[in-house]
Amino acid sequence: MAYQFTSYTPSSIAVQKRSLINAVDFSDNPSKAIREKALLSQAISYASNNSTQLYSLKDTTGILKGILGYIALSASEVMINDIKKPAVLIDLLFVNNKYRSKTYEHFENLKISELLLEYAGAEFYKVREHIGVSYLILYPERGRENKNLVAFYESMGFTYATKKHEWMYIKLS
Amino acid sequence: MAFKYENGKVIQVSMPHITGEDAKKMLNAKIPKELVKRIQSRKFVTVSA
Repeated sequence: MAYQFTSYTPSSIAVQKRSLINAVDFSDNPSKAIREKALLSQAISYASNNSTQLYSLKDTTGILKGILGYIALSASEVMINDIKKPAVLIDLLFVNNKYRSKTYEHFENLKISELLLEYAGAEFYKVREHIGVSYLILYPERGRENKNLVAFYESMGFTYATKKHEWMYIKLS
Repeated sequence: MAFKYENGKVIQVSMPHITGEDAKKMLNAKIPKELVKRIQSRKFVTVSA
């Protein structure tokens, strides 16, 4: 296997918090970089008190160095009319700026973002083995302005839940 | 917990409440079989930090 995920417990985050942030490059655009760093810091902070589960992705072949990206997942729900439907929420999907928008032959020509999303799907099915869950959901930050981001999620099967263009979902069971 | 960044701050986003036609669409959404097949065939390795 050319890649490996690492899951972080609150105690491991307490020791590594700063290094988790410093291990990745943010956008070349300074204002975007500030936003990305703030959102990653928030996800790490939530992971440190078990409000989300943080994972990082690394290349085990050594071709790509360091942390390639992060994904954070939590248990959630969607109110559909008056029915609560259980969901897995993608709290954060972050790709190291060095590795964005590129496909890698040794990763079966996938992008890092695609691997992270597929991993979220795999975790969804692990959860479903034990508890009921129907949807994988996410809130694409600045989705209205960032057409490329939304196009990417749509290419992975996500659909906007409403015309307000806020939450996106995939029904997975 | 989903977040957005606004006016220099990270803000928690309230969870979705879907109604009407959107609700019907979401309840009747099809499961993307190709994607599911791809996800389930991939062998992810996870280690603890």
